[in-house]
Amino acid sequence: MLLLVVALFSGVALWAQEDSRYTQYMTQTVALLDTARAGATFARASNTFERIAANAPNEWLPAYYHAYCQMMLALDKMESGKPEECGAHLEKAQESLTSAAALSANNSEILALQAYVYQGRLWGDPMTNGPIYAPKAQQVLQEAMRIDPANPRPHYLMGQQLLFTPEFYGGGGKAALPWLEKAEALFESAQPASALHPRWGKGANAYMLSRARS
Amino acid sequence: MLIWGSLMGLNAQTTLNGRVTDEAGEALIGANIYLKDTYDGASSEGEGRFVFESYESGWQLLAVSMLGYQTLELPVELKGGELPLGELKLRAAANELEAVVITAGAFEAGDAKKTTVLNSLDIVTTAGALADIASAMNTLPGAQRVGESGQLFVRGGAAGETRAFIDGMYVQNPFSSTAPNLPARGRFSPFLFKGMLFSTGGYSAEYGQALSSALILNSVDLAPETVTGVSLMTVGGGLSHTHRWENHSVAATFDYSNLGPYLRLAPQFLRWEQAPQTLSGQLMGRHKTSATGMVKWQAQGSRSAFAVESPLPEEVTRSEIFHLQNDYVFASASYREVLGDRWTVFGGIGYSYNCDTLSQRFNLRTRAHALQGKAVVQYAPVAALSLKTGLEWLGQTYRERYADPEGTDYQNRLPERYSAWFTEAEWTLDSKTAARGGLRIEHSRLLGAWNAAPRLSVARKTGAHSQVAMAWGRFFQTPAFGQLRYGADLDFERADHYVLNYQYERNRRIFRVEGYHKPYRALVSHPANEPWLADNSGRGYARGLDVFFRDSKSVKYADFWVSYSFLDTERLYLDFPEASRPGFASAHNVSVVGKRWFPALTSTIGFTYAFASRRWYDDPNTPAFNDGRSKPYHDLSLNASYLTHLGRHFTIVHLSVSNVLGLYQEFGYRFSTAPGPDGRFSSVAIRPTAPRFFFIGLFVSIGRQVTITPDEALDQ
Repeated sequence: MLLLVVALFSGVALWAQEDSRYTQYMTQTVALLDTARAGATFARASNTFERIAANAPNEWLPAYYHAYCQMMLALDKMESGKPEECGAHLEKAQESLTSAAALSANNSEILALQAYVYQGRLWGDPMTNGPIYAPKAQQVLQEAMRIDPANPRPHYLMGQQLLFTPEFYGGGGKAALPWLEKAEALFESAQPASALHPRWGKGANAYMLSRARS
Repeated sequence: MLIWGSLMGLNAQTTLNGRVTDEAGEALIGANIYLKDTYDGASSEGEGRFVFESYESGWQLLAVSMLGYQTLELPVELKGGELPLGELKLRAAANELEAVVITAGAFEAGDAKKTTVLNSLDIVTTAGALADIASAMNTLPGAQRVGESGQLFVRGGAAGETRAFIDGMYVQNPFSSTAPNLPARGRFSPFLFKGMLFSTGGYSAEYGQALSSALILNSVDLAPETVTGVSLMTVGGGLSHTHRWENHSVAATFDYSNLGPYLRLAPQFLRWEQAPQTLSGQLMGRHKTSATGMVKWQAQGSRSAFAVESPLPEEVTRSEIFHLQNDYVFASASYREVLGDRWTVFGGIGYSYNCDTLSQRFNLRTRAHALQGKAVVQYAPVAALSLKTGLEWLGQTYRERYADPEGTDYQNRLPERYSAWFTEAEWTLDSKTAARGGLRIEHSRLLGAWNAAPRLSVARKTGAHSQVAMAWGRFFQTPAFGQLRYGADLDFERADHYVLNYQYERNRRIFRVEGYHKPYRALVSHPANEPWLADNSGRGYARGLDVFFRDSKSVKYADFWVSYSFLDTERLYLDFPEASRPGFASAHNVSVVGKRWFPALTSTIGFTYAFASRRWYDDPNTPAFNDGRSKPYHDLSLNASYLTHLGRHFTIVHLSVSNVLGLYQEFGYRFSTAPGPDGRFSSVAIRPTAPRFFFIGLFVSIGRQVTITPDEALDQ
């Protein structure tokens, strides 16, 4: 009897330990993202999220964050003038995002990031990919806003997309401004569901806002 | 508590360290090193070094993964203390970005693949091509400028040696019907396709009945959005509507063209009795049946007619009205599904009908029906190997009726039942080498003959951005109905391809050079004016060198490419008394295409310069055969596209002019079939229909979102 109790107890303890390791690793790595600037930080975080995702196959957040890090790495390649190297990161981001979406359907955050990945497809070859991915991204963003109207990220991403869309396609600073302003207000009032839930985008939105106003 | 303590504490901490490098020993930073099924791991940092701790014990699987490399797994034993792992070498993965692809003989054009040479936008923005797929492909090396035809002549092959396939289905009559020496246009818009593969030799065993070239077109999937299009052109107008649902899209297109007003304004060399008019309609559906399954169907029909003064064959200096009416139907449906990780199935059916009614002193009506089916199964037991096998069946009936005032009334009917089986294996040996081998077996009931056509291609990377490829294959084609109609007992015509290719591609610049040798055997040959004595004793060869360079990088917003083709060819075929260069072939062909996007003007401006050296023709007034030489051909075409909006609707204005410089252009000479009273055969130069061609078009897309605001988005 005693043995059974001990066995049960240690089983629960092991499970609790697994759970606390998940929380501990996630908390540390998500916090890392708040200050991450360099590609190397995102690469390290991406590796950690990949490991967490492998051990917590029922959680959508590790896969989501892995996709986000890959997206940041693609952005890093884009900004350092190597758009042809974005593709591999975007593929990887899409792969993780697809597994996240399979774990959590109709998720405003996942849809917002999906739109970001679509936007990333434009970087390499806007003339070719624009007609395909720009409408796709807008469609997904509208869906993300419909599910959670208080989510600032779809608004920020919509503003960002319009900012970089030529004026004759309906883009430009003037078209982007209301979206970015709305996003700013939503970022102010945003209450992430937990310390592990997405909270990125505020700084980038502020930057886009300054560009849209100039 | 003792037991609990033992659970947590007995496992001593092990510190793993090491260094990750590539095959050449260069440090890899950012690799993910971890013990499988645990949280323990680290990223490689400076000099590729890593270190991490683990409380696991015993044998564990260590994995090292990095983007662009194959994941390395090795068992390690954790016993506490230090565990130095030394240098861990990763092998480059055969990832898609830099994967070896079989390039010999193929020009990929598409939006999906990364190894594209041209995409559908390129085809539309190429000056002089007027959004015609074949005309744009004519700016690639291997294609010959044959201005009076408008079709694709590839590497010393006649127009009939190039076949078009849509979603794997053979397309009968892909070009509009015209009078002799009036250029045809392709019947299919480049916007219908997401991928185009222009193969100038050595292509896959999946495609047959083309001695020289296959134009493989893959149609678009679900339409991206609901949109209505209106077009207004100098030569007509059109309406289209596309509706998109979640998993379905349906598009309907209606076009009417009438060159009448244009022909009255622009100077013409020809006298048109009735301007070319075309009425056409198309319906197209796409249905996503699952995450990987897709049903595609389309049907199109058209009627066109014109009447023009055209030289009489027996006396070319006299002209009489040549009238032509064409009716055309093409319909196809296909289904593709991926089953599990390894199987892909495809099934398709198609029907086409073409009827030409022409008259000029004589009346000739030809009608061709074709019904076809195709089934393909693809199996990939491992990622590096893909096996494909398929069956094809094609039933064609060709009917003609000829009547002239001299009392000839001749009717003919030729039924063909063609079947083929093919199988192919594609194998990626390692990250540097890929090979594809296949076999195609065909049977023609009309010929009562079989053939077996083996194909092989190999590609090997020679550096990070370069590769060499070779292709070899045997290709068969049933002689054209025009030759079979006389009842001679004929067999398949045959060509063998030997292709060697080098390609360097980096940073949106591509350079490729390809040499080829193509012997022809069993060509249809017959004594002059006695086609019923035809046999397969003809032969010939084509060999040459194709060079292509494209740079989309050096000048911002600009893109240009240069193609050069050298061709040496001779053949003994049809009524040739001796082996000689056929009339459509020219030894040197050059195309220079340039375009630039001007953001401030929201416009693209482009030019195409084309050159073809002299073509040969036979002057029956001289004793030597085929000693006539046409003048070299030059053309400079310009185009401009202006992107704007009409109200809130996205709009493109397109302008295009061919032969801007007004150069004299001729393609050869046409001789009377009978001598005149002086015993000489009279002749006329074969020339374009007009000194220049102008085109102005306005294309409006209604429903394409131009601007939305946050409030509007919430309303939706």
